[in-house]
Amino acid sequence: MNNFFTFLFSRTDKQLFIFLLIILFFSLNLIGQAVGFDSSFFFKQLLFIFTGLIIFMLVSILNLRFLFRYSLIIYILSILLLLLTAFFGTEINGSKRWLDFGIFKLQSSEILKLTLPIFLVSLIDYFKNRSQTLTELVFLSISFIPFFIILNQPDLGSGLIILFSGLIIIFLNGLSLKKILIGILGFLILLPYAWINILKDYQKGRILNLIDPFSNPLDGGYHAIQSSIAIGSGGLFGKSSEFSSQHDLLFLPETHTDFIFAVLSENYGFLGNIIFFLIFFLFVYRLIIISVNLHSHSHRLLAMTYVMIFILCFLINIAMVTGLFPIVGIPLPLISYGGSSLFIYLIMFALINSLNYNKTLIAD
Amino acid sequence: MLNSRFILVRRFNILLAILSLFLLLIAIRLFWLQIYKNDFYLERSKSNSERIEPIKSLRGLIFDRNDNILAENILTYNLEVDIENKSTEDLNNIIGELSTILSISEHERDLFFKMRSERKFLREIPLKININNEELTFFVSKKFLFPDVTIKEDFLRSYPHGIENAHLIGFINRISKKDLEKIENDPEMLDAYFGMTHIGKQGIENSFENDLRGKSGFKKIRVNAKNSFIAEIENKKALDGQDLILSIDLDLQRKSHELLKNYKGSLIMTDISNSEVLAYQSNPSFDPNLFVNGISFAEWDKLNLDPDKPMLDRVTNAVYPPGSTIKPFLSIAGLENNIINEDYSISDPGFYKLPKTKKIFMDWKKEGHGNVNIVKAIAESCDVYFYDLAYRLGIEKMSDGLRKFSFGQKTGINLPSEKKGILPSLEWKLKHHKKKWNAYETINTSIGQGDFLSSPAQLVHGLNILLNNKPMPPLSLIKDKFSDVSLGVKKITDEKYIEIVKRGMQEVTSSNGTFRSIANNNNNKIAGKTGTAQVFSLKNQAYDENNIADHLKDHSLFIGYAPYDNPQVSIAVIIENGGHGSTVAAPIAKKMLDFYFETTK
Repeated sequence: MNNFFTFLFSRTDKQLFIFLLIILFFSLNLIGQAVGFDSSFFFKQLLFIFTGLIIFMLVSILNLRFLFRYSLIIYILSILLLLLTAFFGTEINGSKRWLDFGIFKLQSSEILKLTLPIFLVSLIDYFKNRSQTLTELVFLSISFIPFFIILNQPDLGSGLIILFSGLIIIFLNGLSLKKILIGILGFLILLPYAWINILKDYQKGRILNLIDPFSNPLDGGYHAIQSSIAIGSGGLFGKSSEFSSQHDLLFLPETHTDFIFAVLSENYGFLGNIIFFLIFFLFVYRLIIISVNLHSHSHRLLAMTYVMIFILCFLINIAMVTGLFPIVGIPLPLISYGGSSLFIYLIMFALINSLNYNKTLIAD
Repeated sequence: MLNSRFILVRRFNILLAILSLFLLLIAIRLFWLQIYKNDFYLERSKSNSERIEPIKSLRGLIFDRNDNILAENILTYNLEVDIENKSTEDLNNIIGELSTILSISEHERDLFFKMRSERKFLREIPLKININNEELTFFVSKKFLFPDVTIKEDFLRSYPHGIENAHLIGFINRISKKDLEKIENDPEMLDAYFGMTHIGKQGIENSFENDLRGKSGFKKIRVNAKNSFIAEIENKKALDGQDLILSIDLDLQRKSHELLKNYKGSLIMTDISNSEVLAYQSNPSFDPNLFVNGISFAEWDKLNLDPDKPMLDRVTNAVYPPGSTIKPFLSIAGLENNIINEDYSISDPGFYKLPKTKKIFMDWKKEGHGNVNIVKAIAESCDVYFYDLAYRLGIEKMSDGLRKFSFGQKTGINLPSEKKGILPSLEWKLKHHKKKWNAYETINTSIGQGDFLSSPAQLVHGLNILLNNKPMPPLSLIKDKFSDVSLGVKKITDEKYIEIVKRGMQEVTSSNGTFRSIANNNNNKIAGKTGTAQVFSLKNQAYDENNIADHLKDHSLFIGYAPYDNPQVSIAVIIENGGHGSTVAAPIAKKMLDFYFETTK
């Protein structure tokens, strides 16, 4: 047994693992503060973290050649999972995002964060000698398929993240400036169309609420206002106990999931946020160092894409909680309560860890 | 391949740079929220969870002098709806749902929405006042269906003898927009009225509002987002209103109401010694209980459009020509100025010719009163005697003399909108008509006609001053307010003049007087003065009581007191369009005084 752990740890980047543990400890602490250390959420999250860490270990020893080889099947299975959700998913608050497995609800769109980049990156070698434009168009198409399915759940936030992961790969893979400009232009042209035909009223409302949350303080603006109050009242060192906290009195709902950053800000203040950012920065820095130093182009690309998704989701969540961004249901990576998201990120980091360990074996 | 790595890392760095900018933006935002605007958000977070709930003060009770209750508070259960953050549509839905289990009238609905639009700071608004036990139990069983509807204990103002005391006690009503403006301009008032729904609108309820209301308190509590109680932060108790014990006697109120029942008019009876009002009655009357929670339009129209004006307080808010009731007061002025004396007499042919003119003034008695001295002039109400007196006295001395008896001034009774009437004088004429005084107007004034107007309250107050021969405190509605008024006040005039006039008023009820009908039935020694006031001057036409429209008939007046050898109570009665003073007003006064002595002895 001892040998098994030694085996596992020898394959793990120590720095990365320590920062990861600190972050997960943060998560537990914040969830405990948000909903109580004796609540079922806290114990479930504890269980998720343990399970997640075991998954992390197991994935770390995975042979990635196998992953790349079956990437098409993995992609098709992921899409099937999305379709399955569309037909048999559990509807919560008007959107079908979850597949109910009894003990565990899986948010199927999360899987795509993981599998879409694997599939795209595995295609890089295949398209090595084809025209760049063709590659990019194929990649774009492959990315749009899950995007549209997720958009119809509806879950604009997750859909955009999936689409973005595809776009990041295309960009990192050397998309020319000309095409970037064409892309931006096309986006601007399509924007009014999307506003009218694709966005639902509540989504438009959320975007409008961003501009003036007080115009509609009860409906869409409520979260934005209460969240700003929670964060703002935290001050430099966090709110002292003489003041009642926003989340204790239930003014700010969903504190253990999407709005957990508000709990951090309220309880630990600006200084707490800085420390939190610092830990995340060190963690991300380690990820970047590992990613950049991988030996194969496709591995680097995959690792960098995962890092990008991670940072992007992290920033979008905080921007959303601080009222800089419309409220899209994107949880704070590694911190928010929930199994699906946690497992996906831990698998991502495990894959990066594995690529790192195996980099000497594989080189371009 | 090195090239592809170079491109990749550069691209990666570009993305990192963009995201760093994003991070910088977030950091600035956090600094803005947590450092720069920290105070603002701390305050918001406090107010988020703090709620101030009013504690209403209990309105003071009103009793008569014998501890009979005239205004009380009845415990009721009201249905109140939490209106916070609800649109009109939401509220209509709630009310619609409610009306499937309880009856909610259109009127109740209107009042609810009216209050909602007017009272910005109220969170819960009563929808149905005073629900009965059956409705209460039924609602409680269905309460779970109505999270925003609560049953609140409240006190409903009630006037058990409403109609008998309507003008005196007045009523409270829901605070109107206009009241609210007044309240909101005064921070102290705003505190006192916090959470209050009613305000005194008329009568004593209005004029003693500050004493009766008290001061509301508040409870500051901490609640969570679901509005559940978490903790109490501060509790300031309400200061309940003071009870009032009136000088009024409920039995007299009932009697006077009964006596006036078939007339339009009013009656006021006072304790001569201390200006306390014992009876205060105006008819037609109304039920003040209708107003307490907002009168319906139909009821309001009925009262407001009634030509008999039931809402009008005819004791202090209406003024009439005092007619011959003015003569005793005028006599004092004549005696003081040596125009007449006890022995001075004239011969009355039934008319008076104004010197230096051809104007003839008739006496009410065509054949005249013959030889008339002051006592006989008062007893028989000889017009010619007073025409002559007035002419020789002149308007200035006349109005100066009458002013001492409070004519043309408010009596100071603590009731809203008392009218001061008109005491004609040179100055008054110049000011209001921009004209010089005519001699014939002096003649008209001498019999309480012309521009002369006074209220029944003024007449009784004047009579009290005369009988006490000293300035009297304002008519008082509160028991024992002026118990030591008799001490050390300068006399108004020589006591002997008062005695002469009193003798005249005593003669009024003798077999020669205008109220001789009670000459043989005057056990309570009533003295007084009748009056008949012209409403309309008939030109070249004989006044025929049987042949004239009701509203043009003379007003019938009587002022009086008893017993004449030791005056205790005074009274003034006016019956609009009642005809002669001696035939309507005086008998009512007599019955009233008899009742007083019968019940208090």
